[in-house]
Amino acid sequence: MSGPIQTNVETLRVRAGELFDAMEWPTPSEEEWRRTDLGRFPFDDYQVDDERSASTTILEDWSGRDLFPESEFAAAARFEAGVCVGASGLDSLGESGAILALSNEDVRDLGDELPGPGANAFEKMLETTLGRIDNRVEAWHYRGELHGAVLYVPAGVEIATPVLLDFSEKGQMALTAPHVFVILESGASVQLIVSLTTSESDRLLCNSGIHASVAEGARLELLVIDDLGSETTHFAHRRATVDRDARFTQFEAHLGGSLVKSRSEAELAGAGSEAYLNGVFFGDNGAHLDIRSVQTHLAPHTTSRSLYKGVVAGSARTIYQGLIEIDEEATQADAYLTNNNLVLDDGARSDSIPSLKIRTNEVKCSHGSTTGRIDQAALFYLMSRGFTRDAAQSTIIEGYFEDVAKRGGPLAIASVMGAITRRLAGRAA
Amino acid sequence: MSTQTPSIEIEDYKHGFSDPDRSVFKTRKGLDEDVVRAISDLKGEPEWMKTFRLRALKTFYKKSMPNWGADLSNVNFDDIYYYAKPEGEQQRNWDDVPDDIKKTFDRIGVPEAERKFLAGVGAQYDSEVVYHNIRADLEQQGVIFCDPETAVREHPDLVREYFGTVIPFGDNKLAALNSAVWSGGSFVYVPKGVEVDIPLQAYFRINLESFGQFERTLIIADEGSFVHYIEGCTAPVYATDSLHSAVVEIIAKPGARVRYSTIQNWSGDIYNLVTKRAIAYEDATVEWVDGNIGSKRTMKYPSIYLMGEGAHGEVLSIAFSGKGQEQDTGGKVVHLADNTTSVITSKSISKGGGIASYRGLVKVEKGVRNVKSRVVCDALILDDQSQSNTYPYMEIDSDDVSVEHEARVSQISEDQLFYLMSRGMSEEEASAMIVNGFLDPLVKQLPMEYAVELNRLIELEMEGSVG
Amino acid sequence: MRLEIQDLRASVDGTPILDGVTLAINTGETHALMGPNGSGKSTLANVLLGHPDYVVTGGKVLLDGENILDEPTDVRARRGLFLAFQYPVEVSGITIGKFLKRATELKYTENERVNLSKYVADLRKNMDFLQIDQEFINRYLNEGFSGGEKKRMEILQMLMIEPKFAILDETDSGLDIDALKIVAKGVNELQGDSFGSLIITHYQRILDYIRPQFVHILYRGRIVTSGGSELVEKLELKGYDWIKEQYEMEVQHEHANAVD
Repeated sequence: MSGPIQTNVETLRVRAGELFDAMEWPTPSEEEWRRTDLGRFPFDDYQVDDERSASTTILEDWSGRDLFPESEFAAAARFEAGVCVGASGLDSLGESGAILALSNEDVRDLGDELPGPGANAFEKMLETTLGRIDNRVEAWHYRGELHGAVLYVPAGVEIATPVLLDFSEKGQMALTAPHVFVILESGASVQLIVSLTTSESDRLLCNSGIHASVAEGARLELLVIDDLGSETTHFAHRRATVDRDARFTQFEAHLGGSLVKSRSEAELAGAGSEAYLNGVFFGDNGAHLDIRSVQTHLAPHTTSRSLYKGVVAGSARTIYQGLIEIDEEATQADAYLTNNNLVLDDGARSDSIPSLKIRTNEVKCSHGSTTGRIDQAALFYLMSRGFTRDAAQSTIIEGYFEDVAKRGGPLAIASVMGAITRRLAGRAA
Repeated sequence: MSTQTPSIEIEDYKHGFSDPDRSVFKTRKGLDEDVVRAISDLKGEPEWMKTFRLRALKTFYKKSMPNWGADLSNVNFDDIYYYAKPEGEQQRNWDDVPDDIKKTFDRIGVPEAERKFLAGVGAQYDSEVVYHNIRADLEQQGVIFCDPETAVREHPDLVREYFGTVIPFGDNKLAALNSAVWSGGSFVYVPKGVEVDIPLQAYFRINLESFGQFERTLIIADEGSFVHYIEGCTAPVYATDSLHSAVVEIIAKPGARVRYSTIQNWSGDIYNLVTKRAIAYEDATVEWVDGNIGSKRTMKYPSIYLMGEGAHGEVLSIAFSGKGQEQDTGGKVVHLADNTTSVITSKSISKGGGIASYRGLVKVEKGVRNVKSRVVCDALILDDQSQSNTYPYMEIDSDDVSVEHEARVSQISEDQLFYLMSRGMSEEEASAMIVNGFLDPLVKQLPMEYAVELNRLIELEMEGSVG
Repeated sequence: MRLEIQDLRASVDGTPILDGVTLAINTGETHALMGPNGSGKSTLANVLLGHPDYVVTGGKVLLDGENILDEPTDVRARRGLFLAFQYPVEVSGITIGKFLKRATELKYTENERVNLSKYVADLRKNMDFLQIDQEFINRYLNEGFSGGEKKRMEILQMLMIEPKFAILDETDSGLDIDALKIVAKGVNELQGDSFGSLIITHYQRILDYIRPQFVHILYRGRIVTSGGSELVEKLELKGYDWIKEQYEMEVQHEHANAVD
């Protein structure tokens, strides 16, 4: 395919709008929404903030060091209330041929700026995205005013230091749609960190999306950290398509929020591709977290792993739905899924639904799930060394999460563990 | 394997056999109030049971089919005979049983079994119990083992107290159907402290084309008692669909233990939709051993409600799904009391385009303390046309639990195949041996003649699966 | 009877391993095959029994004059070949008793039948002989067995099946001296005019107990030298380095010629 991009973001928006109009809100009769009943959810109460500036000028240099003091980033950008307020590294990134487009205009022009294969990949991604919308919430996201970034890395380019995108959403009864598209051409590699925060005083609905296309032999490491206030509702739609011999590693953290429904899907479309999905989730007070991971094997000799650990406390409810789907064509697939859940309090509830749909016999596929409380023996041991019960609990829970966080590297540990420690301290207080 | 019962040829066994239609009376095809009244009248039932049936029928009309699990879209309720009564009154002696019925049971080995292993046999033939025999000493101990019609007549107090308490007809559409048109099955009552040392068995057989089976079984094990009940069935092959919608209720009172084993081998065109549920009280144990082979569509999730402290529930499920078949099976355990434990073990095999799905639930209610549960699902897929799905649900509402779940899907290992072939076994035989080995830990929980029958069925199914 | 391997070539995953192996074994003979790691010893053993991972790219294997390379594994076994595996696989759910009975039955043709009481007597006798506890009859095949137990189980199978040719693939690896002696005892028990064996080993230890008449050294996929037990002593003294020195040039030279 070559030539001007037919489908651009605007087209996606319009066609998603048509889908939105044609669909109804999901109901519990659909398996994926069975445990998150949106029947009484006040969708109409959330509005896009009109006062949001449509400014496309990026004002300041923002290096990301206020969030990560020890780190160097190849490029960084910060969004506040849907507007990019600072960025850095765009030019040096450009020297390697990589592009980080942050404004709506930049994204619209991207079609013309991208070299052939990149443009094709972007167009294909937009088409795939559109074709996969299977519920009204997702359609709602794409018809909305997206703000965010497109990260493009050309063939063979390996970005040595990470790229950081920080979204600080704000508002009262506001609707916000942050989005990131990532396009890696063959042999490219980059680590991308996306952080999403809201505060206790924000009441908003964040409908977010991250889509990645990882071409042949490329490697993408994605860290997504959601640290949300207790009046935030978050719907997350995440997908990565992984081509031949490419590798995708994701670490996602869902901390806080009052209602969170998230789906992360890794599609192993090319032979020899690999996907690793790691996640942690922490529900407290009356939170409702419904986290879904999907490993889809479409080609031979593919590998995937999921490890999701959750903690549920107070009167919160967590649901983990994990699916491994292996197509007839995906012979020699090697897939594994693990879900562990810690239940801290008697009013808390944890649901675990790991599923397998296997359509060929030449596979190695299994999953495991455990649900229980903190190991009493470990608790006793720490207390016998002078830890208070709360301190002992916190220490154990931190270790429990760090086991997953370390798969996201030192930056994952740095960002997530801090947030978790704060939340645990808040409980004890 | 090296010796075979001479009267059973592999051919015959595989393709089933049928006797000329023995039915004397059938209700007309389809279902309505008149049919239900007719059934009740034919059985000479008291008014309270007729009323129960009619209320259930009303509920049946109101409810919709379950919309998850195997595909049930081809079931046409109007195209089924809901009742047929064969000639002959209830028999108590083997010699008095009509000849071709005897021949049927000869071929599937009842006489030998009866001599050695059984306390009593209820043989179902077109939904009436034709032959029944209870060993004298069981009767002396106060054990009741009869068909439900007899129980309604002779033990109405027991029936009224327990019938429909574990599975009320409002529970689901198929339970409502069964409650309206139930016919045949078993009623078992074991008094306090009595341990029935020999398994109680019943055979079922569908002979008539387009006929549904609606047997109803109720087992009450009083405090401290023990009973092992075995249900097994075989049926001939027919072109049109046949429906089997049974209900099994089990009540295990404090300290009691009930094991219910099934080897289900309906012929390929049967829809097998069964609701099986047990309630286990303090320190009671209920074990479901469930083997499923044959039948076009099966949906069976034996469940156990652990309602008393210290209760234990176990589900052992074996499923084999071949060409054109869909086995959607598993188990459900609900923990409603402290210090309860459960184990669900599922082994499934799919081949030749068959689909085997495990669907299970472990639920721990709020505030329940000290619960341990473990679920293990192993699936073998034998070729690239077949499918295996696993849908486990864990719903945990308490912090004092340890719940584990593990599932594995794999194919026959090439190394194992090579190893067995290097000892002279053909690829087909080696595959069959590996598959039998896969199932062995569960199969050996079954009584011997079932284990043998199941192994033989597996070998038949494996024939022609290679090359 | 004679097992003749002629210029056998084979590869795995596209990599050539056997590079023209020629070797003949008659019943009544004990042969040892030694060689450094990577020379192709296990490959040869697996190729002789037809393991699906290996592709034969040339040569013949004649059993009593007939090429068996086209026959499936089980046919080769029934013709009298036996392989004692280096890493016997576990097969859950199948008891030793059931498995051995079947394996024993298979050596009979359709007209003959296994005599049940003879089978049981032989089994017990052989288990005692190999110091295997009788309760193993009810254990699942190789499941949870230690290395030594697995190797003795291979020899028990060999004794029950009574093959014409037994290939022992590094049966001695990982065994202590006592287990080694038991394995040797088992092999020696079958020695006679109707039994030939190929003992594949890296170390010469087992050959103290099973004395070979013929010793061959496999290097880079072919037999580079053959002799008697003096070869074993030479290896014990000098290790494998002299093999590499002496034969490396030869192998490379032949490869160079073959390219032309």
